Amino acid sequence: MIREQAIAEVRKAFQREFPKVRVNISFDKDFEETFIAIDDERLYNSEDFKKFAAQLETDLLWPHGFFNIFFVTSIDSPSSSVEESESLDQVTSTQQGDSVEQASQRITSLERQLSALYKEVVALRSRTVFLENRLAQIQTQQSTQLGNWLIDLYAGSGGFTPSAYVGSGYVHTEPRYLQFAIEQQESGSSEEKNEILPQAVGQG
Amino acid sequence: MRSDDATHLQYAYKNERQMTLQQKSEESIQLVSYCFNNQKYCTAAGGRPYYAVFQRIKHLLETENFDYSTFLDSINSKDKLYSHGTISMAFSRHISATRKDISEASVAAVLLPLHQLYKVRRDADYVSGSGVTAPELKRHFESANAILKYIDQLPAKGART
Repeated sequence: MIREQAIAEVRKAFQREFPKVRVNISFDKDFEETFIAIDDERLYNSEDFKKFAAQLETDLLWPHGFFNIFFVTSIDSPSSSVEESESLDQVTSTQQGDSVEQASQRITSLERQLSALYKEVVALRSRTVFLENRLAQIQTQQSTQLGNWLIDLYAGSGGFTPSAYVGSGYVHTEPRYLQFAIEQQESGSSEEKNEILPQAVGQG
Repeated sequence: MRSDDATHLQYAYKNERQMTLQQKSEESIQLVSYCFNNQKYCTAAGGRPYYAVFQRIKHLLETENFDYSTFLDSINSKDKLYSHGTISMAFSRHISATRKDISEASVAAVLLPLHQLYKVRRDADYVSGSGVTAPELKRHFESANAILKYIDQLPAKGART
């Protein structure tokens, strides 16, 4: 039995025993762990559910070698890697004849999902800020390296040394400037470099 | 944690270098209690309810000479010893094998909240944007305590219930 078959059996068991409960199944590829989450904390803590889940473990999952499948309630935290879950569209699609209690449960479920989504957004924002800072660091390092390289290049030829531009944010890392400098080094005179390089390096 | 805060903790063990896993379990659960009562460090303590149970289970298995390697071989698992995925099964199987009239499924049912505590611990420690509030930590404390109480009340190995 492969994992998907085991999960399908679990889903069938849920539909049979708890047809109204909303089940969210996520798979964490890094840890190879599956989380079967239900959106009903009261049910999760009930003896009926504990017996139900334990029976699935001892009769279905463990005998087939599935040890990293965890039954949880999704209230506390978002799943880091969702493999299959009911979409918001599915959740929000109203069913004719729903009772007030069912509608209330759906709203509660939506609120929890929104809360989980919000947490994910916060996490993504945090990650974005980190990456932006890292990018700025790399750009600064590259600018400094290129500046040092240009200093070395022109100090050796007796021509213009653009040291005044290095610390002023005028040094660029774009390939066209690098190519320009190489071409000047290979073919141009020192007078030409003096005339052209400051303008080119200082552009933008 | 500031040193004046740390003094509030009730360290029951003079020589912490020689703590048993059971003592570590007790300290873990005390720390959780301190955190939600004082509404401090609740996310940092979010993983301790899980570990309080994990340490207690491992202590029992070790002191009752449970052969984890043989157990892993018997289930064709390549997991490490005392892995998070296999410890519930190991404990359930050991208890049902060494205590009369206790089934594997009944132990697994008691341990089910450990799944939730494990996920809380993972998210609290590793997932950005995930935190644990004091009321949530109190709930996790209660879940862990229920399992710890069950383990404490188990009959001795080989005894009838």
